[in-house]
Order: sequence, then C-alpha cells, then structure tokens
Amino acid sequence: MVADFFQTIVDILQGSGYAALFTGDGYLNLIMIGISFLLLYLGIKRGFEPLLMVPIAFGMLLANLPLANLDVSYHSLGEFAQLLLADGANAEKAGLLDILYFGVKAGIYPPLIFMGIGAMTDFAPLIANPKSFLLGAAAQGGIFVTFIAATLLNFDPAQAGSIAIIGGADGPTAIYVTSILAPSLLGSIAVAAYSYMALVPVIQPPIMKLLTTKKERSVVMGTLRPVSKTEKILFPILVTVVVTLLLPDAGSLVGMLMFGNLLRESGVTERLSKTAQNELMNIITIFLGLSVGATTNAQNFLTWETIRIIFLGLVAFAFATACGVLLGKVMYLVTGGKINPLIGSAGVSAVPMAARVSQKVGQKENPSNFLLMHAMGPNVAGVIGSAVAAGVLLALCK
Amino acid sequence: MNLNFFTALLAQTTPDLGFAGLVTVTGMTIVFLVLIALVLIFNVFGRIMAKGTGKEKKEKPVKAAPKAPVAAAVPAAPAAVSETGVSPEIVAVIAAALAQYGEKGVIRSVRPAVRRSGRNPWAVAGVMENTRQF
Repeated sequence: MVADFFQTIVDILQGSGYAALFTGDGYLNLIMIGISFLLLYLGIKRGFEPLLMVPIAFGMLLANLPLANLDVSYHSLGEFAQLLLADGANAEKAGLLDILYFGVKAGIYPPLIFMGIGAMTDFAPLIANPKSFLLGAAAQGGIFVTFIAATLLNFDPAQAGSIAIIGGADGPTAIYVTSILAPSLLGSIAVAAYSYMALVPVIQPPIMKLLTTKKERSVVMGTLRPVSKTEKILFPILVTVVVTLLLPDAGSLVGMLMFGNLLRESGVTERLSKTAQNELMNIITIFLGLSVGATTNAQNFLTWETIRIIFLGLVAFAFATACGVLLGKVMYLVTGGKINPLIGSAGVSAVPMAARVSQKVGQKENPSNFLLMHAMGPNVAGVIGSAVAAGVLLALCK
Repeated sequence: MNLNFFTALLAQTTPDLGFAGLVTVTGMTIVFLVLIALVLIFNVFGRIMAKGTGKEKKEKPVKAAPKAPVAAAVPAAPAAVSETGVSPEIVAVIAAALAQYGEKGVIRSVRPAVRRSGRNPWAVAGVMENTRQF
C-alpha cells in the first residue's frame, strides 16, 4: 500500500515537466527559459518595445515548458491542417498557440496591425512635403545591403530576404515576410527586429553625426504648408491604387495601412478608426506577440544562425540610417542648404522613435531648431517604403 | 591547396552573390520608382489643391481680424510668467509651437485662460467624445 503510494508519486514526478527539463535535450529548454527571463527583464525594466517584447518573451517561456504543448510545432499550413485533424490518443494535437499562430502563418495579423498603424498615423507632413518619400526610399538601402551581407554569410535567398527586412525597422513587415519566406527563423528575426527598434536612439546618433557636418546639422527648415482635409482623404486612396497596381505583393500591407488611415481621415468612421487603433490593435498584438514567441523552441533558436541574424540586424539598421542620411546630404546640396540631412535617418520607419532621434540630434546643435514634423515625413514614408521593399523581396525570393 | 579552397568557395558563393546583386539593384530601383511616382503625384496634387483653396484665402484674413485684439490683450497683461504659475517649460513649448506655425513677434507673457461662464471646456470635450458616436 505504502509502496504503491510512493510509486505513484515517483511516476507523477517522472512524467512531469521538471523531469523532462533534466533528461535528454531538456537543458536546452532551460537555456531558452533563461533567455525568456532576460527578454522579460529588457521589456519590463528597460522598456525595450514592451508592448511586443513582453508577449514575445512570455510566448518563448510557454513554448519551452516541456510537455505543455504550448510551442508552435508547424511551419506550413499543410502541417497545421494535419495537427487539426490529428486523431488518436498518442497523436500530437494542435495546442492553443498552434491555433493562434495560424493568424501569423496565414498572413492575417501583420496587415491588421498595419491597419491600426494607419489609423494612428498623420500623413500630413508627408503630403505637405512629398520629397520626403525619397528619404523613405533611400533608407530601404539598409535592407538590400543586408541581403548581400546575409548571402555572404551563406543564408539562402529566402532566408536572406527575411533577415534583410529587419532593416525596414518595422516589426509587422518583418514578421509578415519571414512567416512566408523562412518561418523557421521567425522567432530570431522578431526578437532581433524589436530589440534593435528599441535601440534606435543608441544606434542612430553616432552614424548621423559621423556622416554630417555641424553646419548641416544646424540647418533650420521652413514651416510646412497646411494640408487640407480633402488631401488627407485622397492620400490613402491614391497610395493604395498606385502601389498595389505596381506591386501586388505589397498590397495587403499597404492596402490595410491606407485603409486604417482612411478610417482616421474620412471623419465619418471615427468609431471604426478608434477600434482599429486601440482594441483591435491590442488584441492582435497579444496574439501576434505570444504566438511569434512560441515559435522559438530551442532547436530553432539556439543556433549560430540566431547569432548571425542578430549581427546582420545591426548591419541592417546601421546601413538604413546611413543611406537615409546620405540622401539627406544630397538633398541638402541640391536645395542649396534648405534641407537638414538629419531628417534622412527617420526614413527607417520605427515610427515615431526615429523622428524623435532626428529632432534630438538636431536640437543638440541648435536648441531652437524643431525638426520633428519635418522628420515625421520621411518617417511615415519609411513605413510605405518598407512595405514596398517587402513586396519586392516576396516577389523575388518566394 | 589554398587556391583550390578559394576556387571551391567562389564556385559555391558566386551564383548566390549574382542573385543577391540582382535583388539589390532591382529592389532599390523598384522602391525608388514607386516612391518617385508618389512624389510626382503628390506634387501635382498639392498644386491642384493650392489652386482650389486660393479663393478661400482671401476671405480668411477678414475673419481673422477681429481675433487680433484678443491676441494683443495677452501681451498687455501685466502678470509675469512666474506669477501666473505657468512653468518655463510650458512657455517654451508654446513658443516652439507658435514658431512652428510661422508666428512672428515676441511673447511677453503666458497666463492660463480664465473661464468666464459655463462648463469646464475639458468636461465638454469629454462629453462630446463619448456621445458623438451615437
């Protein structure tokens, strides 16, 4: 009787997650749990993009608790269908996060987040100064430089495209492209993208200062013209038509971004706009963060690839900043000193952090200089630019 | 031996690099083409809109005129910045915002608006916010 009792206790312990952590490859899960704690610390204590970092880190924690079936265990919709249809006592069934991850794999969440971003974004600085589009385009140079660098580090084109898109400094775009091109790298790329986005104020200023002279940084830009309501309404419609017809692969991102913006600007759909930028956006952020975090099982994450991706992510951000600032310098020369090259670095997206960095660096040289609104133009153009670059990568590397 | 190693390395990486170069050149060209198209469209668009709003501009100064004395009354107020309880940071922000909108002149004093009658404007805004949608 007593022996049976102890045997049962031992059986339960041996079948528990604790035992699994210390047998076989279980130590890898322990390391991953440690990494998830580190990311939680960075998100909560250090404020690294907490709205996404906390769900991603918690998803990582859940996925690495053995036997709980909380990791995402498929990379294609076919495998997902098999999990859903799994029958029998021993068959692996679709877990909670498998089901939530469907929204990432099927390309649902990132465009919906783009809709929320569109509903939150005021494109007026860009409409007032359309030349800002060029700075948003130049900063995408970081993506393509990284593509070459990733190829040199022996990544195949699909993987190189997914890594390069980190340079777009736009989380949803990176997740969207990676979930299609190289789903096994999703966790590493999402973590790298969001970490570097949080580090924009650290990465950008030295590059901006290195590439510009004191005189260029002190340029005070003229006032932006006021933008009428009609322009604000027609902007999203025109951008959707022009971009989607030219590059259908960018359609779902640009289309939803602009739809969100139309909800904001039309003036008659305020309730929808508020839902898109608040409740819906928050719900999708939770689903996206948790399920992306749950793709980071030890076999995918604890590899040299992850280290190379983190290195390439830094290359991507640095070159994106440099390309933007360099075109800013060209525009400074062409306009006879009317454009401050510092606004070029805001072309990397990372709205509105990158624009704030331009403002801060500019204000250090000239305390009465207010570059923020001028930098918001390239900043929001960068969002459109990285969606277009994503479309190009999808078209070429699929 | 070394030579063989490099030839092998080249044979392995050259085709990939060729593709990477192609992606880079095509990618940047397309991104620039799309965004240049948008620049052109919105340049033309901006000009058309400026023409459309040109007529309204004539009326605006007339409407703005009665407001001018009110604005003038503010600098006339004797209260100094520190006495009104408006912090120097707030004054700096207001000055920056006015400068951004192209206002010329010197700000001599900033004081909180005195509510003469009716409800608190923040309360009114709150009620509007919550009821407008219905």
